[in-house]
Amino acid sequence: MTKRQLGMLLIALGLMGAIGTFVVDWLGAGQFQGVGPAQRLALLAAGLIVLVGLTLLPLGDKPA
Amino acid sequence: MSDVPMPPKRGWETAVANLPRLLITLALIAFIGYLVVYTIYAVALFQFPFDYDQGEGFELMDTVLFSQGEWPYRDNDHYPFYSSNYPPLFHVIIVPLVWMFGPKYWTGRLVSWLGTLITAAAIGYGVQREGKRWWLSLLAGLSFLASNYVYHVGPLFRQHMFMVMFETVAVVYLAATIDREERDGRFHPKRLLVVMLLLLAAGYTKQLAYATVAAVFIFLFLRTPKRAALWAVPFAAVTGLIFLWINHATDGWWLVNTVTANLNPFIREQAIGLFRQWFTLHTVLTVVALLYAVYQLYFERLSAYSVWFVLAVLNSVTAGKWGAGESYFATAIAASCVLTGLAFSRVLTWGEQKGWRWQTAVATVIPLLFLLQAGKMIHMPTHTPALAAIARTLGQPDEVYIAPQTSCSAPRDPQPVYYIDSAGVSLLGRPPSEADTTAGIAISEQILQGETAAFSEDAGFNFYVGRDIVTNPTQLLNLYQNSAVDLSDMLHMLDQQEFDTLILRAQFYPPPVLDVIGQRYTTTDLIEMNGFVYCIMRPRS
Repeated sequence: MTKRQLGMLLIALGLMGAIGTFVVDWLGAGQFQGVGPAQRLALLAAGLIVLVGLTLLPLGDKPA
Repeated sequence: MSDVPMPPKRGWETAVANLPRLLITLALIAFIGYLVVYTIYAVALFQFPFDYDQGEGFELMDTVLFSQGEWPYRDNDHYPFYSSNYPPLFHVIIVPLVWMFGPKYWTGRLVSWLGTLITAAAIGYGVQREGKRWWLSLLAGLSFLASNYVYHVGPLFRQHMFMVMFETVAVVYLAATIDREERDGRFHPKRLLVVMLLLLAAGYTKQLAYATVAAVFIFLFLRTPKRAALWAVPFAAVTGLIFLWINHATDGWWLVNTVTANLNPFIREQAIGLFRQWFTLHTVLTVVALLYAVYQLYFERLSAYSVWFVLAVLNSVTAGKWGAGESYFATAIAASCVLTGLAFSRVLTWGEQKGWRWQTAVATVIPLLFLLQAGKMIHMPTHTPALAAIARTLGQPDEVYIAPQTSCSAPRDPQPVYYIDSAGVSLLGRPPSEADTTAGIAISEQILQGETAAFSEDAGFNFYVGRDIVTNPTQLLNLYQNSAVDLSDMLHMLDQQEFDTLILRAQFYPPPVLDVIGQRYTTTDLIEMNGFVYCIMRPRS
């Protein structure tokens, strides 16, 4: 696997994680109105993963 | 220490060049000191015949049941209301010792303690294999044993550190296997099979090993995705078949007791507090490991250790579950010790290539960082004049004042505790004393005044007098919170005062059980042991 592929994988995982935090609400599992504290934390983590993924894209075909 | 700098023979250069040697010696003394302290604590625990940490006795009970050819995954609805929520391997390994010596606490404590020594040796080997500097490898391995968390839990009759041992050996062996494969230009499937068996052993020691299993497969996927998939299928199949076999053999009680009972509430403040404490205590190890993992992410290939470290840190969030705690960081600490050793090794090699001055600077800073880490993790008993003198020399107090924990009796005044700990003096870490053993015997003798086994939150007292082990309170509470236990029989027996002695320590039982205890029993004696006030209760007349 290359750095770029790893980057894309992390971006996909981060996006899925971010969507997942809202799916939790849609399923009725959240305890808070709006964006709760756990959701904020999860969104922050998902954003960080996407960011790391983005920074790996320019590294191209170097092995991960 | 042949790799420390050897300068040109000029006065000040000779003096500066000896500085790394001196600092390395000091760092080695500090960490060997921690090993001595760890051994003192372990030996004191081996000699203590009762529960030191709540739950130890139930792990001993699991071992006793296995030694009799029985499963500990049982129906909690009926007498003796006992079941286990842990996988079997740790207890099965201790069975021969129970056959030989009987149900003794030292058996599991010794095995767990030896497991931590093997983990430290594996960390040292992992660093030595790549770094080839004995003092650095030694410091990396000893750093693991010097962690406050490893010290607290390592010599207890708990399976957690044995899981960490299997995890660490698996990842170190995986790293060695992949290196060898890349050197030889061919796969070594037999070696990878050993890694899989070690992971399987870790998972069947404690469920938490799933993070290390994930780390290993993610690492394999990064290197050769197809190979990762080919190994994942049989690994999952074998793991699943063993699970189904145990579940079938226990009429479904395995699933109830090891899965349903572990779905505990998450306490956010507990997780944040523990993360903060872990980072404060292990700052050098954590920061260096993180920097090295980031370096590998951007400038070279990710190693198995880096993937393992990241997954282990993420998984440490489960320390916020009710019933979890500091030990959940042990895997992350093991991974950080390896990465720190490897990172320092790389920096030392870089310094050597840059010339004498850089080499000296690097070889000075690294032992200084180890000394800084040693200072952050300070913990030691101070119950002997020599240990008290060492504590004072290090600028530490030789006693602290802590009130004993009470849950079923009135609060008590603080008392001197001869133990210091940068994690804060709590329940774990202080070696049990003669007075604690005497107190345990006194509690056990209370049981002998009656005819039945005690309805007790600790198993040790019933073990001591040879009576049934009745209930596993935290397991009952977990099942109660998941609506997976029927308490009717237990409540009826308590209401009918069929137990003539009750022993409470922390009131872990489900609320309806505590309610009926309050209505039908009364406290007759309070006995303090290991910083807890135990309440001895008798039927109300």
